Amino acid sequence: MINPFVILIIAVLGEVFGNSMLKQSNGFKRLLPSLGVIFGMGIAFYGLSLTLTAIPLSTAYAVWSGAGTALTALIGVLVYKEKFNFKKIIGLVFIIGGVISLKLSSGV
Amino acid sequence: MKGYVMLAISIISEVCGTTMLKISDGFSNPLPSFGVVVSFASAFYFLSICLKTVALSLAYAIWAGIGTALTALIGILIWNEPFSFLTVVGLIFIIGGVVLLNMPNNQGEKVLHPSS
Repeated sequence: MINPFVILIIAVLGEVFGNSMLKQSNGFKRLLPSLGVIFGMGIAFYGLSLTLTAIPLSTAYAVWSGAGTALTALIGVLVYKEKFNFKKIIGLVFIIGGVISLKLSSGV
Repeated sequence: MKGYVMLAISIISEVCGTTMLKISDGFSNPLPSFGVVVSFASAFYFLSICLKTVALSLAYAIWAGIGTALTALIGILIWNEPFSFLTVVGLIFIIGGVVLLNMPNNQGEKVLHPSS
């Protein structure tokens, strides 16, 4: 059996892709990005539902949304050359610390 | 104002969806699985309408922060999910981090937008 946290990581990657497409879709008015949203979120939610059989909902959903946001912010800095200010660094450290804390408390 | 009403509807749909997701048992129960699809389709539809008037960074910070907190609360209250001091600390850190990352800066710079 694959570690449920590995499946959770795949679900997070699907979410990041889906969210990027959501903004591009302009209220689901553009077809290709809209299909991208459905594809990314499909992977995200199927993966998330599989992990819920092994990880509590409270833990899995927090990790899923937190890691998704952290990755999106990193992409903003790395790809779109957004400024890496102090607040972003603290935010990323908080999320990473929170994910580790939840991982430890889940005992999986 | 209309944007924030849309955001509230979106968050309620989201929490319905996560609850159905848990009941769907890995998408093996058809009815809750259908509920997941409908709830999240509604959540993203209303979020996308909200994004027309509210900045993505701010909307997403509120959406993810409140959605995560409510979902955790439901997990603990309805399913008696185990939680310890570490769980609570982890949840607070993640929600705090999400809000910090997404709060618009004074200069109007936004995390999730290309700052072109």
